[in-house]
Amino acid sequence: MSRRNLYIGKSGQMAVMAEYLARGYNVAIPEVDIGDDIFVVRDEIGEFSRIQVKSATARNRTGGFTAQFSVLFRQLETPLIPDLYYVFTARRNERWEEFLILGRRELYDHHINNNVGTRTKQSVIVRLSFSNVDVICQKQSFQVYRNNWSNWPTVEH
Amino acid sequence: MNIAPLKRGYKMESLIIQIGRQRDGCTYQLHPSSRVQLKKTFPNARPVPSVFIGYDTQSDFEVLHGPLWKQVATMLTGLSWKRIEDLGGIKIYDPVQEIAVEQVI
Repeated sequence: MSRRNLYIGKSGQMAVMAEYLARGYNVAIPEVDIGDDIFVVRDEIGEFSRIQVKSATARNRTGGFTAQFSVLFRQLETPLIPDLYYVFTARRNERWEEFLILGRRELYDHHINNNVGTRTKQSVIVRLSFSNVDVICQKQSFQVYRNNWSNWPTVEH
Repeated sequence: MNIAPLKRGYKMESLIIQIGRQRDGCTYQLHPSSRVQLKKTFPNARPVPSVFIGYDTQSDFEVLHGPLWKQVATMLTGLSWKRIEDLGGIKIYDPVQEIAVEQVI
């Protein structure tokens, strides 16, 4: 991974952490990065979420932009409790403009049953196409996942 | 629950259950293609999306969990074991170790 990508990746991770904090959730980064990027905790009840952040730089196109992400296949196919969530975020116009949030199981379902993503030896490459009205991945609409933070409603402290 | 009987001669692939082993237990889920296959064949079945069963140590996994796999399959499919057996049984697959742990028919 290039040094530029390391900076972009960490920046995207921080942007996602900032969003969880703004929603009233505590966040932590594991000391050793071997899977999850962020742990999100709802302090009052100790409810815990595992988050994998995928960051990319947007590429402009007519009517919107595209962004490409790589997801480890083994991670995608392994069920755990609590299950993993992916947050895909794209940087455009010098800010993190979009967040797409979906559970591991949903993404795995899309990959197996709807041919979403391109399989490489170890990964699945997900190419998302954003417009004002939709997010498309290989002819499937992912709009329902766009900025869908509904699993983490704002907590008032 | 009203589940229609299988058509005569109907053949379905064995259902695949994927597992994720953790320190304190194991999570079971149907493989996405098995889930779709099941939904098409038994639209009225009411499966649960995942099952977690605990253990004290990972070495307990097969000893403790093995006898429960039929029950796990019935919960994940919403079908009786007899019905699952008619379909060809189940395969338990560990994606991390890339091995079929067991085939239960």
